[in-house]
Amino acid sequence: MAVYKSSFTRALKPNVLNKYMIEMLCCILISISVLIASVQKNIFFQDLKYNVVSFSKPFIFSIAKPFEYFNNFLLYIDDLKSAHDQNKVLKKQNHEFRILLNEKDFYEIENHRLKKILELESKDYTKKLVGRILIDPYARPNSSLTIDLGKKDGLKINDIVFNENGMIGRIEELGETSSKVLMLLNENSVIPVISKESKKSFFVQGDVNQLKIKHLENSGSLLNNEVILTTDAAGYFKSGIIVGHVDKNNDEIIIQPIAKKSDSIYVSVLVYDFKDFVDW
Amino acid sequence: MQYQIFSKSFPYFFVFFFIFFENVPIHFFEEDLIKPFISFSMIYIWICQDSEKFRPFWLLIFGFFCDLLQSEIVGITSIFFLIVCHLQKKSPDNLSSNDFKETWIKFSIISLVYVFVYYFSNYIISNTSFSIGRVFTCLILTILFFPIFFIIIDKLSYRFKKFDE
Repeated sequence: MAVYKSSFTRALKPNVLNKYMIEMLCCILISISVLIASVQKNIFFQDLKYNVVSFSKPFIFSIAKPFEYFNNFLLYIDDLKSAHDQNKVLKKQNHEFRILLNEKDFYEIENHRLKKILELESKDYTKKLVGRILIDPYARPNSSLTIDLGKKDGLKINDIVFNENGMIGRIEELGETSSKVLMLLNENSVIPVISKESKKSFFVQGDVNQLKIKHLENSGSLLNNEVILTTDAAGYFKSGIIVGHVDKNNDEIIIQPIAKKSDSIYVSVLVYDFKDFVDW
Repeated sequence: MQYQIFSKSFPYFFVFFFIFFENVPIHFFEEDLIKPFISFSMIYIWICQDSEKFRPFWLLIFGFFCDLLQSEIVGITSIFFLIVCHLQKKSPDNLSSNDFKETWIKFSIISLVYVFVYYFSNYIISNTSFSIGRVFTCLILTILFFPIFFIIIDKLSYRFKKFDE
Protein backbone atom coordinates (compact mmCIF):
# COMPACT_ATOMS: atom_id res chain seq x y z
CA MET A 1 0.00 0.00 0.00
CA ALA A 2 1.44 3.40 -0.96
CA VAL A 3 1.97 5.85 1.87
CA TYR A 4 0.73 9.34 1.22
CA LYS A 5 3.16 11.94 2.52
CA SER A 6 1.78 15.43 2.93
CA SER A 7 4.07 18.45 2.66
CA PHE A 8 3.61 18.85 6.44
CA THR A 9 4.85 15.30 7.05
CA ARG A 10 7.77 15.86 4.75
CA ALA A 11 8.71 19.01 6.68
CA LEU A 12 8.68 17.03 9.94
CA LYS A 13 10.90 14.27 8.60
CA PRO A 14 13.04 15.80 5.89
CA ASN A 15 15.15 13.27 3.92
CA VAL A 16 18.33 15.29 4.00
CA LEU A 17 18.48 15.61 7.79
CA ASN A 18 18.07 12.01 8.79
CA LYS A 19 19.73 10.54 11.87
CA TYR A 20 22.93 9.67 10.05
CA MET A 21 23.30 13.13 8.52
CA ILE A 22 22.68 14.86 11.83
CA GLU A 23 25.31 12.71 13.46
CA MET A 24 27.72 13.32 10.59
CA LEU A 25 27.17 17.08 10.68
CA CYS A 26 27.61 17.20 14.44
CA CYS A 27 30.83 15.21 14.23
CA ILE A 28 32.20 17.46 11.49
CA LEU A 29 31.31 20.55 13.50
CA ILE A 30 32.97 19.09 16.58
CA SER A 31 36.09 18.25 14.54
CA ILE A 32 36.30 21.76 13.17
CA SER A 33 35.84 23.38 16.55
CA VAL A 34 38.41 21.05 18.10
CA LEU A 35 40.77 21.88 15.23
CA ILE A 36 40.37 25.61 15.83
CA ALA A 37 40.83 25.19 19.58
CA SER A 38 43.96 23.08 19.16
CA VAL A 39 45.42 25.63 16.70
CA GLN A 40 44.91 28.30 19.35
CA LYS A 41 46.84 26.02 21.76
CA ASN A 42 44.04 25.79 24.24
CA ILE A 43 45.25 24.54 27.62
CA PHE A 44 42.35 22.08 27.67
CA PHE A 45 43.83 20.15 24.73
CA GLN A 46 47.25 20.08 26.20
CA ASP A 47 45.82 18.54 29.38
CA LEU A 48 43.58 16.23 27.37
CA LYS A 49 46.54 14.99 25.36
CA TYR A 50 48.48 14.01 28.46
CA ASN A 51 45.42 12.51 30.10
CA VAL A 52 44.83 10.37 27.02
CA VAL A 53 48.48 9.30 27.04
CA SER A 54 48.30 8.48 30.76
CA PHE A 55 45.09 6.54 30.27
CA SER A 56 46.65 4.64 27.36
CA LYS A 57 49.79 3.66 29.29
CA PRO A 58 48.80 0.03 29.93
CA PHE A 59 47.97 -0.49 26.24
CA ILE A 60 51.16 1.23 25.14
CA PHE A 61 53.22 -0.94 27.49
CA SER A 62 51.52 -4.13 26.36
CA ILE A 63 52.17 -3.31 22.69
CA ALA A 64 55.76 -2.13 23.16
CA LYS A 65 56.93 -4.86 25.58
CA PRO A 66 57.13 -7.81 23.14
CA PHE A 67 59.15 -5.71 20.70
CA GLU A 68 61.40 -4.54 23.51
CA TYR A 69 62.12 -8.14 24.52
CA PHE A 70 62.74 -9.11 20.93
CA ASN A 71 65.10 -6.17 20.41
CA ASN A 72 66.98 -7.03 23.62
CA PHE A 73 67.31 -10.60 22.38
CA LEU A 74 68.73 -9.43 19.04
CA LEU A 75 71.17 -7.10 20.80
CA TYR A 76 72.23 -9.93 23.11
CA ILE A 77 72.95 -12.20 20.12
CA ASP A 78 74.87 -9.36 18.51
CA ASP A 79 76.88 -8.80 21.69
CA LEU A 80 77.67 -12.52 21.96
CA LYS A 81 79.30 -12.42 18.55
CA SER A 82 81.72 -9.69 19.57
CA ALA A 83 82.06 -10.68 23.23
CA HIS A 84 85.80 -11.38 23.12
CA ASP A 85 86.76 -8.09 21.43
CA GLN A 86 84.32 -6.14 23.58
CA ASN A 87 85.88 -7.66 26.67
CA LYS A 88 89.32 -6.32 25.70
CA VAL A 89 87.91 -2.83 25.07
CA LEU A 90 85.96 -2.85 28.33
CA LYS A 91 88.99 -3.95 30.32
CA LYS A 92 91.01 -1.06 28.89
CA GLN A 93 88.14 1.36 29.59
CA ASN A 94 87.84 0.03 33.11
CA HIS A 95 91.51 0.72 33.75
CA GLU A 96 91.16 4.30 32.45
CA PHE A 97 88.07 4.91 34.56
CA ARG A 98 89.84 3.70 37.68
CA ILE A 99 92.52 6.36 37.14
CA LEU A 100 89.84 9.02 36.53
CA LEU A 101 87.97 7.90 39.63
CA ASN A 102 91.05 8.37 41.76
CA GLU A 103 91.47 11.87 40.32
CA LYS A 104 87.80 12.60 40.94
CA ASP A 105 88.13 11.58 44.58
CA PHE A 106 91.00 14.00 44.96
CA TYR A 107 89.00 16.86 43.33
CA GLU A 108 85.98 16.07 45.47
CA ILE A 109 87.98 16.40 48.66
CA GLU A 110 89.66 19.58 47.45
CA ASN A 111 86.25 21.00 46.42
CA HIS A 112 84.83 20.19 49.82
CA ARG A 113 87.75 21.94 51.54
CA LEU A 114 87.39 25.03 49.33
CA LYS A 115 83.62 25.22 49.89
CA LYS A 116 84.22 25.01 53.60
CA ILE A 117 86.73 27.80 53.46
CA LEU A 118 84.41 29.99 51.40
CA GLU A 119 81.38 28.87 53.45
CA LEU A 120 79.42 27.99 50.29
CA GLU A 121 76.20 26.00 50.34
CA SER A 122 75.71 23.79 47.33
CA LYS A 123 72.22 23.14 46.04
CA ASP A 124 72.25 19.80 44.33
CA TYR A 125 69.39 18.10 42.51
CA THR A 126 66.72 16.78 44.84
CA LYS A 127 65.98 13.50 43.10
CA LYS A 128 66.54 11.45 39.98
CA LEU A 129 63.44 9.85 38.49
CA VAL A 130 63.35 7.01 35.99
CA GLY A 131 60.67 7.07 33.33
CA ARG A 132 59.80 5.33 30.11
CA ILE A 133 59.36 6.66 26.59
CA LEU A 134 55.68 6.23 25.71
CA ILE A 135 55.20 8.01 22.39
CA ASP A 136 57.87 8.47 19.73
CA PRO A 137 56.38 9.28 16.31
CA TYR A 138 58.41 7.73 13.49
CA ALA A 139 57.92 10.67 11.12
CA ARG A 140 59.35 13.14 13.60
CA PRO A 141 62.70 11.65 14.65
CA ASN A 142 64.69 13.61 17.19
CA SER A 143 61.93 16.19 17.48
CA SER A 144 60.03 15.38 20.65
CA LEU A 145 58.76 12.41 22.60
CA THR A 146 56.42 11.70 25.50
CA ILE A 147 57.50 10.08 28.77
CA ASP A 148 55.45 8.69 31.65
CA LEU A 149 56.52 11.24 34.26
CA GLY A 150 54.63 14.44 34.96
CA LYS A 151 53.64 17.07 37.50
CA LYS A 152 52.63 14.47 40.07
CA ASP A 153 56.20 13.11 40.05
CA GLY A 154 57.57 16.57 40.73
CA LEU A 155 58.72 17.46 37.21
CA LYS A 156 58.99 21.06 36.07
CA ILE A 157 59.54 22.72 32.72
CA ASN A 158 63.20 22.56 31.62
CA ASP A 159 64.12 19.59 33.78
CA ILE A 160 66.88 17.69 32.04
CA VAL A 161 66.12 14.30 30.51
CA PHE A 162 69.02 11.94 29.95
CA ASN A 163 69.93 8.29 29.60
CA GLU A 164 73.03 6.31 30.56
CA ASN A 165 75.07 8.01 27.82
CA GLY A 166 74.10 11.63 28.26
CA MET A 167 71.50 14.31 27.77
CA ILE A 168 68.72 13.70 25.27
CA GLY A 169 66.44 16.64 25.93
CA ARG A 170 64.49 18.73 28.39
CA ILE A 171 60.89 18.89 29.58
CA GLU A 172 58.86 21.18 27.34
CA GLU A 173 55.26 20.56 28.35
CA LEU A 174 53.78 18.98 31.46
CA GLY A 175 50.77 16.82 32.11
CA GLU A 176 49.76 15.26 35.39
CA THR A 177 51.44 11.89 34.77
CA SER A 178 53.13 12.35 31.41
CA SER A 179 55.10 15.06 29.73
CA LYS A 180 56.62 16.11 26.45
CA VAL A 181 60.39 16.14 26.02
CA LEU A 182 62.00 18.58 23.59
CA MET A 183 64.86 16.61 22.09
CA LEU A 184 68.35 18.02 22.00
CA LEU A 185 68.36 17.68 18.21
CA ASN A 186 65.12 19.62 17.74
CA GLU A 187 65.82 22.93 15.98
CA ASN A 188 63.95 24.77 18.74
CA SER A 189 66.32 23.42 21.38
CA VAL A 190 69.08 25.84 22.45
CA ILE A 191 71.09 25.02 25.54
CA PRO A 192 74.12 26.60 27.24
CA VAL A 193 77.22 24.42 27.31
CA ILE A 194 80.90 24.53 28.11
CA SER A 195 83.81 22.66 26.56
CA LYS A 196 85.64 20.54 29.08
CA GLU A 197 89.26 21.21 28.13
CA SER A 198 89.29 24.55 26.33
CA LYS A 199 86.72 25.96 28.82
CA LYS A 200 84.71 27.85 26.18
CA SER A 201 81.12 28.78 27.01
CA PHE A 202 78.64 28.87 24.16
CA PHE A 203 75.23 27.58 23.06
CA VAL A 204 74.27 24.60 20.94
CA GLN A 205 71.18 24.40 18.80
CA GLY A 206 69.59 21.23 17.43
CA ASP A 207 70.01 20.56 13.71
CA VAL A 208 68.30 17.24 12.85
CA ASN A 209 71.28 14.87 13.42
CA GLN A 210 73.87 17.15 15.00
CA LEU A 211 74.22 20.27 17.10
CA LYS A 212 75.19 23.67 15.73
CA ILE A 213 77.48 25.97 17.65
CA LYS A 214 75.99 29.37 18.50
CA HIS A 215 77.44 32.55 20.02
CA LEU A 216 81.06 31.46 19.91
CA GLU A 217 83.45 33.88 18.24
CA ASN A 218 86.22 31.51 17.35
CA SER A 219 84.88 27.95 17.11
CA GLY A 220 88.28 26.85 15.82
CA SER A 221 89.63 27.17 19.36
CA LEU A 222 87.67 24.05 20.36
CA LEU A 223 89.65 20.83 20.40
CA ASN A 224 88.61 17.90 18.23
CA ASN A 225 86.65 15.21 20.17
CA GLU A 226 86.52 17.48 23.20
CA VAL A 227 83.62 16.67 25.53
CA ILE A 228 80.86 19.28 25.82
CA LEU A 229 78.91 19.58 29.07
CA THR A 230 75.88 21.57 30.16
CA THR A 231 76.33 24.65 32.29
CA ASP A 232 73.96 26.26 34.71
CA ALA A 233 73.90 29.54 32.80
CA ALA A 234 71.08 31.79 34.04
CA GLY A 235 70.11 29.11 36.54
CA TYR A 236 68.00 27.02 34.19
CA PHE A 237 70.05 23.87 33.77
CA LYS A 238 72.15 21.61 35.84
CA SER A 239 75.82 21.79 35.02
CA GLY A 240 78.02 18.85 34.16
CA ILE A 241 75.69 16.65 32.08
CA ILE A 242 77.43 15.30 28.97
CA VAL A 243 75.92 16.66 25.77
CA GLY A 244 78.33 15.54 23.06
CA HIS A 245 81.78 15.97 21.59
CA VAL A 246 83.33 18.36 19.11
CA ASP A 247 83.58 17.12 15.54
CA LYS A 248 86.10 19.02 13.42
CA ASN A 249 86.43 16.39 10.70
CA ASN A 250 84.15 18.14 8.21
CA ASP A 251 84.23 21.70 6.84
CA GLU A 252 81.88 22.88 9.54
CA ILE A 253 82.66 22.47 13.24
CA ILE A 254 79.71 20.79 14.90
CA ILE A 255 78.86 18.99 18.09
CA GLN A 256 77.94 15.33 17.81
CA PRO A 257 75.53 14.30 20.56
CA ILE A 258 76.61 11.29 22.56
CA ALA A 259 73.22 9.99 23.68
CA LYS A 260 70.51 8.73 21.33
CA LYS A 261 66.88 8.07 22.22
CA SER A 262 67.26 4.53 20.91
CA ASP A 263 69.95 3.76 23.54
CA SER A 264 67.28 2.79 26.00
CA ILE A 265 63.50 2.83 26.38
CA TYR A 266 64.08 4.18 29.88
CA VAL A 267 65.18 7.73 30.63
CA SER A 268 66.09 9.63 33.78
CA VAL A 269 65.00 13.09 34.78
CA LEU A 270 66.82 15.36 37.18
CA VAL A 271 64.31 17.13 39.39
CA TYR A 272 65.70 20.11 41.23
CA ASP A 273 65.12 23.75 42.11
CA PHE A 274 65.42 26.55 39.64
CA LYS A 275 66.05 30.19 40.54
CA ASP A 276 63.58 31.42 37.96
CA PHE A 277 61.09 30.05 35.46
CA VAL A 278 60.88 31.37 31.91
CA ASP A 279 59.29 29.72 28.90
CA TRP A 280 62.06 29.20 26.32
CA MET B 1 26.98 -13.83 24.93
CA GLN B 2 30.72 -13.51 25.45
CA TYR B 3 31.31 -14.23 21.79
CA GLN B 4 28.80 -11.52 20.98
CA ILE B 5 30.66 -8.98 23.10
CA PHE B 6 33.97 -10.07 21.63
CA SER B 7 32.68 -9.82 18.08
CA LYS B 8 31.17 -6.41 18.61
CA SER B 9 34.23 -4.95 20.31
CA PHE B 10 36.96 -6.62 18.26
CA PRO B 11 36.95 -4.12 15.35
CA TYR B 12 37.35 -1.21 17.76
CA PHE B 13 40.20 -2.84 19.65
CA PHE B 14 41.75 -3.78 16.35
CA VAL B 15 41.80 -0.15 15.21
CA PHE B 16 43.02 1.17 18.57
CA PHE B 17 45.81 -1.40 18.55
CA PHE B 18 47.16 -0.03 15.29
CA ILE B 19 46.75 3.57 16.41
CA PHE B 20 48.96 2.84 19.42
CA PHE B 21 51.32 0.63 17.42
CA GLU B 22 52.04 3.53 15.09
CA ASN B 23 53.21 5.70 17.98
CA VAL B 24 55.02 3.47 20.48
CA PRO B 25 58.82 3.48 20.28
CA ILE B 26 60.03 0.28 18.62
CA HIS B 27 63.72 -0.11 17.92
CA PHE B 28 65.73 -2.88 16.29
CA PHE B 29 69.48 -2.63 16.69
CA GLU B 30 69.12 1.03 17.71
CA GLU B 31 67.19 1.88 14.54
CA ASP B 32 63.54 2.91 14.53
CA LEU B 33 61.12 0.44 13.02
CA ILE B 34 59.57 1.92 9.89
CA LYS B 35 55.84 2.24 10.46
CA PRO B 36 53.57 3.09 7.55
CA PHE B 37 50.27 4.89 8.10
CA ILE B 38 48.62 1.68 9.23
CA SER B 39 45.77 3.09 11.27
CA PHE B 40 44.68 5.42 8.45
CA SER B 41 44.81 2.51 5.98
CA MET B 42 42.90 0.15 8.25
CA ILE B 43 40.09 2.58 8.93
CA TYR B 44 39.91 3.65 5.28
CA ILE B 45 39.71 0.06 4.07
CA TRP B 46 37.10 -0.85 6.65
CA ILE B 47 34.98 2.09 5.55
CA CYS B 48 35.31 0.88 1.95
CA GLN B 49 34.32 -2.65 2.88
CA ASP B 50 31.54 -1.81 5.28
CA SER B 51 30.64 1.85 5.72
CA GLU B 52 28.00 0.94 8.32
CA LYS B 53 30.52 -0.67 10.66
CA PHE B 54 31.76 2.46 12.35
CA ARG B 55 29.41 5.27 13.18
CA PRO B 56 30.57 8.85 12.57
CA PHE B 57 31.04 9.26 16.31
CA TRP B 58 33.60 6.43 16.41
CA LEU B 59 35.43 7.80 13.37
CA LEU B 60 35.64 11.09 15.24
CA ILE B 61 37.14 9.30 18.27
CA PHE B 62 39.62 7.34 16.14
CA GLY B 63 40.73 10.52 14.43
CA PHE B 64 41.12 12.34 17.74
CA PHE B 65 43.24 9.51 19.11
CA CYS B 66 45.48 9.54 16.06
CA ASP B 67 45.99 13.28 16.28
CA LEU B 68 46.37 13.49 20.06
CA LEU B 69 49.18 10.95 20.04
CA GLN B 70 50.97 12.19 16.97
CA SER B 71 50.60 15.88 16.47
CA GLU B 72 49.86 19.24 18.00
CA ILE B 73 46.78 19.86 15.85
CA VAL B 74 43.72 17.75 16.61
CA GLY B 75 40.86 17.23 14.21
CA ILE B 76 42.36 16.84 10.74
CA THR B 77 42.31 13.05 10.73
CA SER B 78 38.73 12.98 12.07
CA ILE B 79 37.57 15.27 9.28
CA PHE B 80 39.25 13.02 6.72
CA PHE B 81 37.64 9.89 8.11
CA LEU B 82 34.21 11.55 8.17
CA ILE B 83 34.57 12.79 4.60
CA VAL B 84 35.71 9.35 3.42
CA CYS B 85 32.80 7.71 5.22
CA HIS B 86 30.34 10.14 3.71
CA LEU B 87 31.73 9.63 0.20
CA GLN B 88 31.46 5.88 0.56
CA LYS B 89 27.92 6.04 1.94
CA LYS B 90 26.82 8.34 -0.89
CA SER B 91 27.96 5.85 -3.46
CA PRO B 92 29.97 2.65 -2.88
CA ASP B 93 31.77 3.23 -6.19
CA ASN B 94 33.36 6.42 -4.93
CA LEU B 95 36.19 4.69 -3.12
CA SER B 96 36.03 1.06 -4.10
CA SER B 97 35.37 -0.64 -7.39
CA ASN B 98 35.34 -4.11 -8.89
CA ASP B 99 38.76 -3.53 -10.36
CA PHE B 100 41.15 -3.61 -7.42
CA LYS B 101 43.68 -1.43 -9.24
CA GLU B 102 41.19 1.40 -9.32
CA THR B 103 40.59 1.06 -5.58
CA TRP B 104 44.35 1.08 -5.06
CA ILE B 105 44.83 4.23 -7.13
CA LYS B 106 42.01 6.02 -5.31
CA PHE B 107 43.53 5.07 -1.99
CA SER B 108 46.95 6.31 -3.12
CA ILE B 109 45.53 9.68 -4.10
CA ILE B 110 43.52 10.11 -0.92
CA SER B 111 46.39 9.05 1.32
CA LEU B 112 48.73 11.42 -0.52
CA VAL B 113 46.30 14.28 0.01
CA TYR B 114 45.85 13.33 3.66
CA VAL B 115 49.58 13.12 4.38
CA PHE B 116 50.23 16.41 2.60
CA VAL B 117 47.46 18.27 4.43
CA TYR B 118 48.35 16.69 7.78
CA TYR B 119 52.05 17.47 7.79
CA PHE B 120 51.78 20.75 5.95
CA SER B 121 49.23 22.12 8.43
CA ASN B 122 51.30 20.91 11.37
CA TYR B 123 54.37 22.55 9.90
CA ILE B 124 52.68 25.85 9.10
CA ILE B 125 50.48 26.20 12.17
CA SER B 126 52.48 24.65 14.99
CA ASN B 127 55.95 24.78 13.42
CA THR B 128 56.43 21.05 14.02
CA SER B 129 59.46 19.68 12.25
CA PHE B 130 59.38 16.29 10.59
CA SER B 131 61.57 14.24 8.33
CA ILE B 132 60.42 14.44 4.70
CA GLY B 133 62.37 11.28 3.91
CA ARG B 134 60.62 9.28 6.61
CA VAL B 135 57.19 10.61 5.73
CA PHE B 136 57.80 9.75 2.07
CA THR B 137 59.02 6.26 3.03
CA CYS B 138 55.95 5.70 5.21
CA LEU B 139 53.66 6.87 2.41
CA ILE B 140 55.27 4.58 -0.18
CA LEU B 141 55.10 1.63 2.21
CA THR B 142 51.47 2.41 3.04
CA ILE B 143 50.56 2.37 -0.64
CA LEU B 144 52.60 -0.80 -1.28
CA PHE B 145 51.09 -2.65 1.68
CA PHE B 146 47.55 -1.62 0.78
CA PRO B 147 46.69 -4.99 -0.88
CA ILE B 148 47.79 -6.92 2.21
CA PHE B 149 45.81 -4.66 4.53
CA PHE B 150 42.86 -4.93 2.15
CA ILE B 151 42.86 -8.71 2.27
CA ILE B 152 43.07 -8.72 6.07
CA ILE B 153 40.23 -6.24 6.50
CA ASP B 154 38.20 -7.96 3.79
CA LYS B 155 38.30 -11.21 5.73
CA LEU B 156 37.58 -9.51 9.04
CA SER B 157 34.75 -7.30 7.78
CA TYR B 158 33.13 -10.27 6.00
CA ARG B 159 33.23 -12.30 9.18
CA PHE B 160 31.83 -9.53 11.35
CA LYS B 161 29.25 -8.49 8.77
CA LYS B 162 28.04 -12.10 8.68
CA PHE B 163 27.82 -12.10 12.43
CA ASP B 164 25.94 -8.78 12.56
CA GLU B 165 23.45 -10.05 9.99
